[in-house]
Amino acid sequence: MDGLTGKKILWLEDDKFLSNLIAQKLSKGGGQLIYCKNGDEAIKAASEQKPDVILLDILLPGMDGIEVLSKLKENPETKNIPVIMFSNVDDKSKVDQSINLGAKGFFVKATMDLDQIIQEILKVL
Amino acid sequence: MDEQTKTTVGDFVTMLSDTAGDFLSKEKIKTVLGDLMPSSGFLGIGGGPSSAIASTSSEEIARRAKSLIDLFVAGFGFAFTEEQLENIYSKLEKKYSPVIASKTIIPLIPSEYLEKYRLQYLSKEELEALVMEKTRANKELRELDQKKTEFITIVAHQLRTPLTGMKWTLNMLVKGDLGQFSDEQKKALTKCAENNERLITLVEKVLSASQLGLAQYEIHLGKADIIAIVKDVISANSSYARAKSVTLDLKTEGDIPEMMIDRDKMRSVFENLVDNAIKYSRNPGKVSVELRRKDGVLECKVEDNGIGLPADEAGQLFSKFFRAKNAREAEPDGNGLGLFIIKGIIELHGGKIWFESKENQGTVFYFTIPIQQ
Repeated sequence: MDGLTGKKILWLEDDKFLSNLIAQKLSKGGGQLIYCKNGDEAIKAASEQKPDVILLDILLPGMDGIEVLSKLKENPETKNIPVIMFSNVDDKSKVDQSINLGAKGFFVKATMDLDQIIQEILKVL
Repeated sequence: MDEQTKTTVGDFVTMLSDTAGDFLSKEKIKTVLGDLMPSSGFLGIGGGPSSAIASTSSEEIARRAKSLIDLFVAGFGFAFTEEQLENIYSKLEKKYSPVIASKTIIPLIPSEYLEKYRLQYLSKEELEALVMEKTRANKELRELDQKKTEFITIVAHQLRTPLTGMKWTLNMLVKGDLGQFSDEQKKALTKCAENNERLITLVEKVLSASQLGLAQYEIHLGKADIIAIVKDVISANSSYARAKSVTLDLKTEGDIPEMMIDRDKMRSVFENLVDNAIKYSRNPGKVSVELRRKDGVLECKVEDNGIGLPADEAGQLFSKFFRAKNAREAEPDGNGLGLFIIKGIIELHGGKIWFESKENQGTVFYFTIPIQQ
């Protein structure tokens, strides 16, 4: 997990249980976590703190992850930051939309473990 | 009742009771038919229709026939009962005439049976009313099915989040990320993790099965090397096979090119078939996977020498949630969704799947998919 050292990772997740776990794992790997629990926070934090990678959940209260992705890609300040979608909703339409909007990958959280998630992050860093 | 009707009805009741007699006890049939029970001939066979037929009203005969049919269907199911009734009816059609059989026998059989024979004698108005009724019922069923699918989808998605949290926590515990445990504690945590994984798999399968046949379940075609996929599946299963003393082989024949398939779904087809073959093998077991190119088609075969399938259950193997009796005994944990999903995936690829099986000897699954490059 050395590759995470010093890297800023923005993680958008409304579920506290999952958020705490990913925070625990990523900080162990030396990553710097920017945790956001809604879309507005994520868009603001992305443009202010310029993370190295962004992980987005899809089903969220208010703006959903696809809208967040679309806004990030419209903004010249954030459009080049790699984004990975991690959701438990994997309808074909959501996957297609995400990829078309420029997401680097789409993964179902329930089928991954935290080490695999870190591998996916390392791939785009 | 005229002579013709009396003879036809007599024949029907005799044939119905003979058919029932192959499966039900004589006493049971007698209880239901009463004095309509055909008389016994020499050694109990070859008797003729009961003389009570002539003096019994059609409604009463229909009532008793229905009771016997109900008894039969309770024991052997609708499809089998329909088959038996069709057999009897077509014999009567041949012996007398379609018109006589229809006029005399159809009113004696409950209306849910022999629909295709009933239709030809309906008037235009009756037919129109029936079509309208069926269309309405069909629409209602589709709406209900859609609602059911939506419900299952929501529940499955809701289940995924806490299951993910448990999976991640258990993995961290097992790997020692949160401190060290004794071997015994680690064993208990590993069991928890495995069972949590089982739940996740079940949720995935329920989602797939509920969406199969609907627009939500689509395949994403891309060029892929199917041999590499199979090799990967075999390698992933090798330690499981070794633990069960099963040898795993792969044979390929002909030049199998990269082809347009849904890589993940096709992988799950092989994962399921190979996993089943190992799971239900007998010690020592042998599982072989063969891939062959024949003209424009890829033929796949997964063969084992395992517990096989009881012949009377063969027709249900690809049904949702079906598990054979001997499979349930050998492996109580399955969910009966794997083969249902596999069949759907193969069909979405334009292919076909079938099998041959003998109980206690083994099973061979075959499937074909057209090669599109």
